[in-house]
Amino acid sequence: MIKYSSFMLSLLLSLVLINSAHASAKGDDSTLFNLGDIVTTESDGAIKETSIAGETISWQLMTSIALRDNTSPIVGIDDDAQLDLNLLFDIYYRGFFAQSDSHRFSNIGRGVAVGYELIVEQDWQLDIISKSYLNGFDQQGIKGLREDNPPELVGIASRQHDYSQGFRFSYLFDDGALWLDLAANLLTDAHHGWLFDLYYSKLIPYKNWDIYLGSGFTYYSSEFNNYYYGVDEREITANRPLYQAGSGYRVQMEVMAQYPLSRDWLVATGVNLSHYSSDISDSPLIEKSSFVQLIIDFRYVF
Amino acid sequence: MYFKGLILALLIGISQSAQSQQTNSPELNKSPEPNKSLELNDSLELKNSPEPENSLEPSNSPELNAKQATNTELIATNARAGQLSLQPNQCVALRKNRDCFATIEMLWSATEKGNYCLVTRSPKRALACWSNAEQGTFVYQFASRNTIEFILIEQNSKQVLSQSKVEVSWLYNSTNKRRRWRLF
Repeated sequence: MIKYSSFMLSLLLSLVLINSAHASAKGDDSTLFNLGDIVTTESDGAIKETSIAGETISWQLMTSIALRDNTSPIVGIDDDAQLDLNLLFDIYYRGFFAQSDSHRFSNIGRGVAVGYELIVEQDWQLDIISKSYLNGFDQQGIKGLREDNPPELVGIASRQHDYSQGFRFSYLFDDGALWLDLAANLLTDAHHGWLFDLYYSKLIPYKNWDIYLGSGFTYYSSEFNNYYYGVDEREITANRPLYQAGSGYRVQMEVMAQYPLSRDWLVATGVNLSHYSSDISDSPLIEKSSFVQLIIDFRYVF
Repeated sequence: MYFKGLILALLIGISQSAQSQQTNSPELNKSPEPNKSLELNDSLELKNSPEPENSLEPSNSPELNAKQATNTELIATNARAGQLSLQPNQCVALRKNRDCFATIEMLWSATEKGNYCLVTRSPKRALACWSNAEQGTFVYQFASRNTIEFILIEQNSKQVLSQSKVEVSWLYNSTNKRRRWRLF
């Protein structure tokens, strides 16, 4: 799967680089790139369609430069603002998709959800998906995001990034959407736990702004929580007692606003409030039960 | 902490900008004051100026030539000339077919004192008029999903002295509600 994602990413980047040399006005159906059997057209604004040997792949690519603080509730993780550069890409081919879920701030920096459409109706949809719901960490910090070697984490075992597989139900309202993910860690040998993640987002357009009000509830099994927040015998220190985590939940509230800066750039800014239940927040590895994350994100839409 | 300060300042700036857009009345004008009694009606028939050599007379074609598409234009006539400048002259919306909002400052000047009006070309609608003036400003609350062309006319002769437009563009073509939440 990782090799496949890398291949697709490389392919997309190659196409984008070539496309950038063939800059075209946005807004019209137009051929951006034509090289033998490979033809890329701009069919729907930022959404591109690339035809390779008669097969059409739809895709969109955005780069995101995000400044955010309070990236994690884990002890010792620096609260100072951090600049992240992310590649947000969405791709669709015959029911298979990879999507960045960029409408939700807490998903940014967690890769893409890869899946397949099982049922598609006018207002609802059922997919089978595989995605990461939590970033792993070790004694150096959050893997791939904040590796500043906090002394509070010295001696802990490595926690891998979560990668869970399951079903996603989506329901679209006139001005909102509801998602329900039910997923378990099946393909990797990390925690073998499961979770369900419910998220609702409502859109409020105001002048040139799109304002999204979101709220989420995520329930984690005891296996999931114990893998990430439990402390076993080998990890005990004077300040880190043994801890066995049970099942627990996280509640999120989010406000995000998007504003177009030009025909290619937009800025997204917002605030996310997360609260963890006691089975999670009582862990010696967790610093606080609630935290607020502020984000400003500049996105370039190819 | 620095980041929180930055975010706070940004949010305050955005809030003030939004407030400013809300509170600026379309009738807010700087000196000289436009004369409301000179407002034109929708049946206004505009006369293009007599065409001198190298005239920049407005075209009736929907496709304006490059010279006409510039922000500030000067249209020379045998009798008068005028200039109309729009700032900004671009408005970007997130999606196609959605109204784009902007506060446009319109500045005009003429070579002679007279009675002038600022008018939208289609539909023809007078925004404001001035009497015995040779320059003026007007703040217009733009809200449209289409590009709009504005013209400066001499009120008595209905001659078009200058024209300029606010172009509307967007990031996403899609108006499909599904694609707001997921692309495909």
